[in-house]
Amino acid sequence: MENNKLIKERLFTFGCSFTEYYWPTWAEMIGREYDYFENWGLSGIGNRAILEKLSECIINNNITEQDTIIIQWSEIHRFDVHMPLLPQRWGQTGNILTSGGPREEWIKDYWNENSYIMHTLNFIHLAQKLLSTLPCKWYMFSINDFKKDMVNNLEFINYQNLFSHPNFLPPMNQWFNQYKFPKIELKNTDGTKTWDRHPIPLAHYGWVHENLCPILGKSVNEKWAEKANNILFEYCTAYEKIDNIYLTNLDWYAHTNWVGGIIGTNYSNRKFMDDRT
Amino acid sequence: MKTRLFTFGCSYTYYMWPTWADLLSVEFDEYENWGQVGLGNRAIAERIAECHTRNKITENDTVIVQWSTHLRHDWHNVKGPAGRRSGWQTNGNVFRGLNQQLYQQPWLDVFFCEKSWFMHTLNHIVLTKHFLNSLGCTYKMTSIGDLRNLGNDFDKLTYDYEKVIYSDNQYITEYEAWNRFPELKIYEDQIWDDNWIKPLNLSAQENKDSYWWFQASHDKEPWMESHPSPLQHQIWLNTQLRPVLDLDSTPIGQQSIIDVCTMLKEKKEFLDVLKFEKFMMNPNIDKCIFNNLAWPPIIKGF
Repeated sequence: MENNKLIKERLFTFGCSFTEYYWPTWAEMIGREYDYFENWGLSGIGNRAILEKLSECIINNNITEQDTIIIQWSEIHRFDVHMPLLPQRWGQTGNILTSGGPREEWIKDYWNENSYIMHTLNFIHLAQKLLSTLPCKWYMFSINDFKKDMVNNLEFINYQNLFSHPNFLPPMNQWFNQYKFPKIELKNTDGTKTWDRHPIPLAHYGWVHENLCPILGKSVNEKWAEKANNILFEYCTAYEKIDNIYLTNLDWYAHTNWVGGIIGTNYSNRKFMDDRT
Repeated sequence: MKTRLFTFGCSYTYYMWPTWADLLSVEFDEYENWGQVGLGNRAIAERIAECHTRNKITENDTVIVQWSTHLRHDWHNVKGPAGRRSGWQTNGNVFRGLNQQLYQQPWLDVFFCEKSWFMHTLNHIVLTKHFLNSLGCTYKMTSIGDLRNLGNDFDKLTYDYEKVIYSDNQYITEYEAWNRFPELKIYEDQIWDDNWIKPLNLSAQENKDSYWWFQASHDKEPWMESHPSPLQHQIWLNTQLRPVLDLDSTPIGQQSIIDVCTMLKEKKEFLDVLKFEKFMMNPNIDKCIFNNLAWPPIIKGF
């Protein structure tokens, strides 16, 4: 993955579908401003997978002061399973609401919400301490307000300092909720339609422009974000066709290195993505 | 300034009789044993993070981590489902007889992959090392066998289920992990450094005569308990761990714990391991049984 001695600034991003999705996210928008960019995000994964992918990334790259690591934490209700035979390595159907098979039985009998809150708090704690030992810049944030949802539960009061760390940014939805960005309705493979709940490219642009650019000393390309947004609303009607539409119409893939992990075969395109949540 | 010791691990750290952790504790002002029987490496890593939120570990503290094996599925439930206790539910590796009801073939087909599970162990060790480095405390790490041997360095006499039985009958090499999963060797240099101490079980296997044997009335023959005896823990502590912690001469209190354990074990009624466990783990046990050690240790954390 380290393939160029002349690389100066590198960016490594982590997260779920708010970081890696059918269309460009905040990660790809800010990633374009770096000499080298790896997006370790993967739709559908939970916080355990995010933490382990961070560990893999640290092991696989000699992180220096020229590097920046940004983590977007997912929701707590996900059950991560590593599957090295999949090109993307981690199973993407991790949400506990996903039904079927041993997974459903296991969750029905043994899953507990408070335990999963504890796990996420431990994962954030481990990640913060790991990052604090590295010379790079780093930031992290969540989709929703963990502090409100978790630490106000008195059981977890000892963890509250995690969220007052200066590198823990405000939750994404706190910013998105101030605006009324349009949504898009897309056809699923079974013919039904879904109003997609993920931020559209212009929403990502607004968020990264206001929240990340000032602290990173970067600017993002508004015209590129507009183009990504226009492609989505003008050409995209079904999930299964989005990848090809972007491949044809936007210079996106060339600058992003999607990384599944160390184990397994490498992949160079995004054709594995057929089950995003 | 008070000295504090925090220990983490599985039944090789917290057991029905005093372990190396308890023996070492007499040399510290304060001691918390976060070990728990049956735990896997994810739980151990999470409990270290949890311990720090509760205790604010500093550079004046000592942390010893004993990793277990990569074949344990750690799960936690604060309510204790299906009549279980609350907390971490792991109960040893997934192939163990006690777990066969829980982890049947359909479950294993979906969730078990040795390569992935070994990677999980490596990730949790990496995360923990960085975590402890960030705290500045004194820390050392060990394991039951050498993790790189994937359980193949456990003496058949003591354990024969902490490993995957391979169908290819391939010759097992030293550090078999790198033979089977070469893409994971990238972790080796960043994990195994000067903070690692000889694995506990390898030391115990060098002192086979000191294992404890039991024979209840219903047992046809005596059988050997596979966990290190207090004496085997003491040998490991004094030959492996204490020298790297730069501690003073061995305290008298350590030997007195061994003496009490030996005396109890020699009682005829305690040839029955269940009776012995019931006696030792009874929270109402005479607190003076070990005059320098609070016993039994309280299980810590969520």
